[in-house]
Amino acid sequence: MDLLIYLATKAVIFIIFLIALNSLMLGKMNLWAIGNIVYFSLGSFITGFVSNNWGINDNRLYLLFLIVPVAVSIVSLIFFYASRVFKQDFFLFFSLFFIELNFVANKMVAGSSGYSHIIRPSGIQSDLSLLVFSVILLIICIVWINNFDKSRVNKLHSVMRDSEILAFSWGININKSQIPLFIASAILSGLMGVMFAFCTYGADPKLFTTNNMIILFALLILGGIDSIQGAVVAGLIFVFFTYSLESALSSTFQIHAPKITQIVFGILLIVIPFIMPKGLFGKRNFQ
Amino acid sequence: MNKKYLFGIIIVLLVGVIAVSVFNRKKENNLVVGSLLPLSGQYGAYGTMAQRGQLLALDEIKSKYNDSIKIAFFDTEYLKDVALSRLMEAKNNNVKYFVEIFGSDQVEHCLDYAYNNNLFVFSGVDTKPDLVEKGKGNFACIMPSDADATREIFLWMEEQNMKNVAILYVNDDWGEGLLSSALYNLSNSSLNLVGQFDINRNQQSFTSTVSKIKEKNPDALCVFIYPDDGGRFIKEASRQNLKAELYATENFTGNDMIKTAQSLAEGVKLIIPATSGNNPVNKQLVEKYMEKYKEEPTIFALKGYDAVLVLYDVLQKAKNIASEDYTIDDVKNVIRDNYHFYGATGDIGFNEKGEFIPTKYERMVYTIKDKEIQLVPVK
Amino acid sequence: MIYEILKLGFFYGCFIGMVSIGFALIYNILHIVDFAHTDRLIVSGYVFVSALTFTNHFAAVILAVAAGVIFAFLSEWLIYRQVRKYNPKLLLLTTFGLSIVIQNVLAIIFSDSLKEYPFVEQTVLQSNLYIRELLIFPVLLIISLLLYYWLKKTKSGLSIRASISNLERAKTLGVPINKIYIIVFVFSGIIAGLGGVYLSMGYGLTPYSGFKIMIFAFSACLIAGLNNVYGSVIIGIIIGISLSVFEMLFNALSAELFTLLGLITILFIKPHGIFGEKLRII
Repeated sequence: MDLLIYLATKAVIFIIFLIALNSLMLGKMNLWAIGNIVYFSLGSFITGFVSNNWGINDNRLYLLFLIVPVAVSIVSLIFFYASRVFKQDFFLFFSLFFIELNFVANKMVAGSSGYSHIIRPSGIQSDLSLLVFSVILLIICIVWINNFDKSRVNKLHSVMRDSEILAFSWGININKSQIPLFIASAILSGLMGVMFAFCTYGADPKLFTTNNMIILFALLILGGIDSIQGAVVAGLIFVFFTYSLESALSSTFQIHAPKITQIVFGILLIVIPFIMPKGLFGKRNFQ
Repeated sequence: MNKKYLFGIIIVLLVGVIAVSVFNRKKENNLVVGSLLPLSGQYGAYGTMAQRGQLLALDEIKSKYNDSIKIAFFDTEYLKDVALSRLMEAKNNNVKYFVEIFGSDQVEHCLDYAYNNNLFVFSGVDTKPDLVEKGKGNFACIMPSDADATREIFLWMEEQNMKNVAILYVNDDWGEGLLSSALYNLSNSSLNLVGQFDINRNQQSFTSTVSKIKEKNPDALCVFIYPDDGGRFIKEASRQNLKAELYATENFTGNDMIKTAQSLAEGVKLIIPATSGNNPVNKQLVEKYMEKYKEEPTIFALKGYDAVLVLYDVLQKAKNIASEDYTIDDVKNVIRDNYHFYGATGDIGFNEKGEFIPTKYERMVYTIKDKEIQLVPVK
Repeated sequence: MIYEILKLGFFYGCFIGMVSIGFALIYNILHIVDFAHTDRLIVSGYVFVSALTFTNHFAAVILAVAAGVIFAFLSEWLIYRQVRKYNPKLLLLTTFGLSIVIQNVLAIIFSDSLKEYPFVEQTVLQSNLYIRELLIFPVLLIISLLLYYWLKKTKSGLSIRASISNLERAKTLGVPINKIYIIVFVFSGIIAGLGGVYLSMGYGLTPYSGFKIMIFAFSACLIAGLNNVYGSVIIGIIIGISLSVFEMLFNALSAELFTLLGLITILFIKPHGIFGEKLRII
């Protein structure tokens, strides 16, 4: 049972992360923001740093929910201004740089195996309470995104996404308008990084790699652009289906189970354009 | 199809998949112990070596005692997070005893969960010095710690009149662990540290590394890297004419280093836990291993073999004392009660705290004998 | 020591430069980053090392290059062309998918451990250089010159330049676009083959080593300016030297960090590249 709760908590965390990526970056701004994994890892590593290096293992850890948003906001602003001229495939490649830089920096700061023994603050010490907390965050996130989708600001972003020239001709400052969404997506990702560190009791640089992010991205495409259901399906598949597939394959292909799982996702990436260019629940085609 | 229904169907399917894979396990009547090894990834080769030793031990138990104990293998991919989830999965399947969680950082990450869930973890290969303490009695190991190994190396260097020492280490948990033990022991020796240099696992070029070491001109170099990386390091060191004497631990044995460096490995010094000599268990295991796998067993295989036999023996002794309902406390008591076992790696014993009593080390050197590079004891 | 470091960096940079030619060509034609290009290089490397168990070096090189060409041809003909027909915008993800599949298939067949060149390399005469180091720069020069001659002086080269300049117009003028794609991929396959041989001899192979090479090689293209194939060679050499110098000053991990920081800084200052024209809104 504790395994199920553990996996469920991870799934909820990834769902929120993917909602931030799908509904904000990909959906509203059409940015292939695979670099969001950097904010996720920053949240985890800041948690590990505070817990291990500063020895803070009590309720002061809740301050991370303030510290991490500030930290990732600064990083996301830097990234935004650095990447503002890049779109689509260039933006994706620039994001790859970012992920690689983050990976190397994490290894240098935290060591090759990262941080361990992260203690949870009281209130979320048991796995079940952490799951409940995550679900509450998920509900808040979904309500907020739904409200945002119905708002006027969303209409503005739709115009900017569909035609930047038209938006520009209306006098809309595109860069300025995108900054709040950039930061919001980064903050959500960073907070989920904190939750992930609490869930797994550690922060390992090897988890926040390009391969994992590309698989998440592929699952998002499968789920559908700008869709909360798509993000939910992607998160569930990433955690549960991967785990189940590896467990099932382990008995037959013991040493190859993780590789076969990766091959399945790679084939998914190749085949998606053929079978469902809009994904399962997408609001529009992938551009 | 209506998207809401589709969404619902997908959720149901996923839940079904989870339920089938997580909960549908055959209940085993025999004793099942868990073994969490990296069977894939950069460290997969070492996990496989340990697995081979464990499987040979299983055959031994079956033939000697006619007991069909099983080992449930789980691939941790050398990731802490995966190791923890595999431990949870094993515990879900009523596995209470573990013969290995490979990787000091991986086992350290799992110790709190093991303690809180009354699981007992045994290890043949983990070497971080404070693991037994962190395990709070639920962890025991049979490999001498990094602290013992580095102490022995520096003792040897002092006897050989070395003055300036440099340390080359791989920047992963094993290499960094050895480094911190080495730095601690170095401070208590007469040797002078001239530099410490790190490499990445599977680093492709050693030209810069060797150049930097050469610049410091050490008399002796501690080589705390894996054998496959070590082979390429030795090649480059030979090309650049690095003069320092190389000292390594038992991790450096194995075919990988010899395959790459070949005769250039001549002169490399190793300290290994005393396993050679007139140890009939060792000789028998080496024969069986070579027959099955066509190569000599490394320390990972030897320790994997011993770990299974020791754990089995301890569990049997606990069963004898406390009958079929023996608990982990009974197992802990057996280990702490002047326990000794003679395995392929020599005498295995624990003190009253459950800490492994380190065996003597043998000093070996790679020498060319009959046109082949071989490891021979130093007289 | 400085000599060793600069020498190492220069030769590694030549290798990066050579790989970046393949990226630049594919990018200019298809307007996508082909993430699988370096994985095809790794495949060629494995073919080379495996072939050495039963044949001589020359034949093994031929086999490796042939493997690179065949893989490149099959990638284009079987996968990329079909995806282009359905939805060209998803081609980037397809290249990623292909890259993941190739890496993991290689890992299953050859394992994750580093696959070494099975011989001890000998230096040539008194030069203290390995034979692959002696050859990489001339090979790079020959490739660059051949490319230059081919693009400037031949009919197919003219077709390629026309396609790069304006694909739609080239199509309407009857330029055989699919043939052009095949030719470009075959050329990139040859580069991948030669690169795989160099990498396996000097550095060893793992199924996942292609990714890091891809990062540096494509960034060489970006910084040079995507329409400047020869500029990417120069930037590739500079990247190789900077990696070596930073490794000398700090360590292997820091070398990557500082090089990546440097690349990002240059892209921040000059997003259209140092030598490139402002082709389009990036």
